[in-house]
Amino acid sequence: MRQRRTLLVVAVTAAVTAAVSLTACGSSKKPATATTAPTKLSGSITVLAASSLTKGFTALGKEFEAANPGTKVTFSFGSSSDLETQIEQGAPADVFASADQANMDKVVTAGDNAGTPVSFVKNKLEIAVETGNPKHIATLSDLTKSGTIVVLCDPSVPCGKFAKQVLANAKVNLTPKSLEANAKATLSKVELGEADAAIVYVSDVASSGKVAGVTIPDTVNVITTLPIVALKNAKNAAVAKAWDAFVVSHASELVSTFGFLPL
Amino acid sequence: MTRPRQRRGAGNQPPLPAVVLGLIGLVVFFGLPLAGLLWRAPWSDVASVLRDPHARDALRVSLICSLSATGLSVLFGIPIAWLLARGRFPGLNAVRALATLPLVLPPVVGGVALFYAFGRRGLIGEWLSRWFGIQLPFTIWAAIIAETFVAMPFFIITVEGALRSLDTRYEEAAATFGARRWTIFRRVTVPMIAPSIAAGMALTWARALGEFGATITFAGNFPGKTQTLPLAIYLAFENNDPAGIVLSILLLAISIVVLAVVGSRVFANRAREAGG
Amino acid sequence: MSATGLVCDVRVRLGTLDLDVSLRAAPGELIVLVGPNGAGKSTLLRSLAGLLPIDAGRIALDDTVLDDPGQGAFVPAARRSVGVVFQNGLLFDHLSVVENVAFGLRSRKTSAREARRVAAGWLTRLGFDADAGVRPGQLSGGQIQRVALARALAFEPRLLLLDEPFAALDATTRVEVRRELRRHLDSIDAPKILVTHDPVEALAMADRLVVLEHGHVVQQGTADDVRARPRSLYAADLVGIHLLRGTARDGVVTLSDGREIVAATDGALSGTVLVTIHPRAIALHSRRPEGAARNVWSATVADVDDDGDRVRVRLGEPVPLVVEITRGGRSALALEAGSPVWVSLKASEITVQPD
Repeated sequence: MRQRRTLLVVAVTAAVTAAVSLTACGSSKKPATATTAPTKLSGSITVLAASSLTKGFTALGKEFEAANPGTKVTFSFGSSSDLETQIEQGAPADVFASADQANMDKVVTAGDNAGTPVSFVKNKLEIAVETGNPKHIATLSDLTKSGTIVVLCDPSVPCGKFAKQVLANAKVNLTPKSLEANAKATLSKVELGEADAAIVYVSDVASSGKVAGVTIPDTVNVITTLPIVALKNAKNAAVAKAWDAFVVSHASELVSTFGFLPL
Repeated sequence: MTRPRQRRGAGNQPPLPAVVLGLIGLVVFFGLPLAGLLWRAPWSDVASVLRDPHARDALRVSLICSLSATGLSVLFGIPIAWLLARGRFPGLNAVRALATLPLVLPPVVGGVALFYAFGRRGLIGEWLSRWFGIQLPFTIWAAIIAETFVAMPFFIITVEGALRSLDTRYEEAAATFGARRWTIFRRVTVPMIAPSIAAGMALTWARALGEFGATITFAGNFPGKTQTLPLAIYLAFENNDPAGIVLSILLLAISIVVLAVVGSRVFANRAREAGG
Repeated sequence: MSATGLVCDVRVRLGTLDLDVSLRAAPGELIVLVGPNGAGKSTLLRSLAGLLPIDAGRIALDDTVLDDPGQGAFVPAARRSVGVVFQNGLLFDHLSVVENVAFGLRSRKTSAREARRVAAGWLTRLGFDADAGVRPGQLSGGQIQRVALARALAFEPRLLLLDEPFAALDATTRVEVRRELRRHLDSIDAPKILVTHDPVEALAMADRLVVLEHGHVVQQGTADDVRARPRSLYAADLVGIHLLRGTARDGVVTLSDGREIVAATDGALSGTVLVTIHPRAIALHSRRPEGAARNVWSATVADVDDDGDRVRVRLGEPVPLVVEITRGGRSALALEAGSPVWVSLKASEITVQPD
């Protein structure tokens, strides 16, 4: 008799635990309530953004919260391909800002977007070197000089894909020492002094402050457009849309302070 | 209606609630994730993925690094375990904390720390680079060092435990028969803890094989040189490349086979060893 | 290097034990060391083996100084030529029998093949008849002891220590192995020290018996000496004799409780004495016995223990003694716990010696 009672307790506990965890997961799947009231925004949103937007969006986020008290913007930065995978897997997010069109296209194809993506800034690649350019790197072909340690992003992420393209455009045959998982990791190798040079976005070089930049001529460079879109599963569609609009209207700040290129 | 009396050996079987909990745990934490992986596997693509030199490179790098890391862990781990088990000096606990630090350190933090030690501008790295021209980051040696860093504590803990529970009378007996310290160590101590050493090696190898954070930070990622299987899998998933799942299953298959073969012999032997 | 045997003066303090022992063992002599638990027997053996440095004193074996703190001399265990047979054998389970025996030789740089040859020789000599290639886990208790002895002797040590070598054996094996061992030990020239708890072993094997209590030697002598005149409770217990303390005067000994015992000693003995009463000096009667017996008193039986062959009767106050009688005797006297009984002691069977 005692055994049966204990078994019952165990079964009930297991069932309750399962039920609680399922409801916790399920709660984010509530449909977005349409709000027609235009003025008072409130609530929090989660923005998935390419890592190159880290400093820029964080600054804009604070401004947005200041302009709209009662709102809160939480960011999750990473490589766009990573983020796109997360969205596909149903990660709870309200907005997606990608480093390239290709990943945004994937989101649209999957139908995870709410509305049409809007481009807000452009970006292009640059060579990041240690402050003072001790190895005197001036061109892409200088990267192939023996003894130069160069790191790139892995071709599976946008900045790596673009770097490969740029090198192909310039007909430079470069074997990097490492292919990092995202632009931040790539840049950090130069910041730490472990690599002599890296090919990352101009915005990355500008926001770093710890590295110097060597321009890549536009003739061989890749100019990429960054789009932003609110997501279909957004918990707070109103704030999400407001954030989108805010970003577009404040794009110039991203250009002037954070090194992005205007449209 | 009376229930039929159940015949059950008094101490031989665990109580029913424990069995139920155990089964739930096995299914939820181990069975379901594995099943999920197998369910999604693109079985038709398996052959082409495995034939891809990319996959074979990753496997080769993984095996070389994990086996080397295990070897280094044994070489340095046994003396450290001895020191921790038998040493008697102030600060012993600090040394133990140091040796097991990688267990609690996030692997990426470990990778960064390795940079600061062995990188081009690192504590030792600078000298290595300037005086010997040795540069560790971005080489396969960096991957080996990173894996050793995270995996050695497993070996040390296992062997330290074995040394502690070893009956020291056997080593004393060996001394009376004329064996000096190295002989005692080689012919008595190590053979007597051999099952634990094997168990430690299995654990260490498995940990090294699966290491990601410290490796990608310190050694970077370059196919054929430093791209281990976990790194290849991670990047494949980034790309939504189904090869990721295939490689995951490959990694799992290797681990399961080795752990099953080694585990059954090792863990059975440990029971014998514990009996003295 | 001459074979002068063992000369040791050992002073060691370990925990609550204060060991202070002077011992000499001549070449070929077999010394049996006995004493209660905690007396320091193992500590003494460990010091001789080199596993425990002494605090003061000197250990010399065949004129070689092994340990002399005063001179700063200490020879570690591995470099002494001391063979030890451990309790339970303590064979290396991961090595075969022959590898076990060869261990000492191989540690001393003998080639593996030569060592195994010598080892096999010792195994045969000691009567080991199983397969020498097996692991110790498959051996019987008696065989384990043979291997342990072979292992200790194979490298021809200059001192042999045996720490309760028969403790793990059953009674029958013990007797058989003991006789064998005596024979083997007799043929060894080195001094030998054997520790045991078994009285029969002690009395049967010893050339000299050393009784250790609380870290001190309370008695040394041949087995006969100790049997005749045990000087401590432990020794007396060992030889199955009762030991009482009292004061002697004019041929009468007054025990601590006031009782008087008459012993056949000369009246000249006086002062504190030890009285030994051999079991055969005690007789039980159902009523007050007639005759010349001088020590007679009535007592109550504390309990009766019938072990099949003989009956042991434990007497209570005033003088607690244990007597062995036959079953017939017991039924004749109708003895049970609590029965009254008359006890007589033959004065001529009582020994008195100065304390």
